Amino acid sequence: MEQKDEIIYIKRILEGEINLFSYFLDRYSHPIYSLIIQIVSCREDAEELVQDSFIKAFRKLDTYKGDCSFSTWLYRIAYNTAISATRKQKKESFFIDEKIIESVSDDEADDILSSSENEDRIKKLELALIQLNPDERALITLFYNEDKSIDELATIFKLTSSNVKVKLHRTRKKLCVLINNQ
Amino acid sequence: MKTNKDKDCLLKEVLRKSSSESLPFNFTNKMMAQINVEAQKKQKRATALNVCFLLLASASLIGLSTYLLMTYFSFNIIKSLRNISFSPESGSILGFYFYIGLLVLGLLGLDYYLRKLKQHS
Repeated sequence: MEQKDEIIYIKRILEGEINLFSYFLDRYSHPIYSLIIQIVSCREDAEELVQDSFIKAFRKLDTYKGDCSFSTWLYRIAYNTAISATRKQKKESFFIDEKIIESVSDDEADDILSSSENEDRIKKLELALIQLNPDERALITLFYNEDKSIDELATIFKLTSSNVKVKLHRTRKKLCVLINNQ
Repeated sequence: MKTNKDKDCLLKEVLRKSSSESLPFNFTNKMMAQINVEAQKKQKRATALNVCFLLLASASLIGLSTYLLMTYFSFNIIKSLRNISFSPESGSILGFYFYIGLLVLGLLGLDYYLRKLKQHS
């Protein structure tokens, strides 16, 4: 379904056809859950936050103007909801000196992150992912898993496109440092 | 040229695996129940807000009319009430007023009923 059709659905929901909202639940609940679980790392919390996100989206449905795709708008709500929840928990994040991150070359990052399936490398990468900030995990999940474009990511994270590129580049290198440190 | 998204297949694979867990099978139904409750709340809020606006507007109009009558037309309600007297002829006029009142009420009821009927169909 295209954005135009989704806008028609939204109009009909706002006119009282509430049952049409199930279409958005069926289509987006799994991707939203995938994003939130990467941010909060707890199944129960993630499920609750997915519910909160959809309720918020339903309440604010009349504020959706169609200037970005509905999925981007929904991801933005879900991201804000999940990030607010992690801020309340005040989890400590793993700090790495910026100079160490910058010292990783692009070739090295390409080599580590593109290597063919290797059990040891996979385990190290899984551990490294856990050590990233929720923000960074959300960014790479949306970029790699949900195939979001740089512009869409910029809308979701309220950053400029160049900032998103820098963040993605930095996160790749940070993953390499975390893998090498294990 | 290959972008990082195409090249980082290992990262893609690990991310895909880590988000392969899914929501309970009845998630949509549970959510729809919550959404319906939310919709009802929304409707109640809107109705309450409308009633508040209506009451406020009516009160303002009554207040404004009273102020204008008393200030610019020197209207004294107590004096006017004292001047009301009932003669045998006024009985028929009162009956007519009562008939008009009932007619208006009946038409309002019919309007309400037809609107409900249209909403359900």
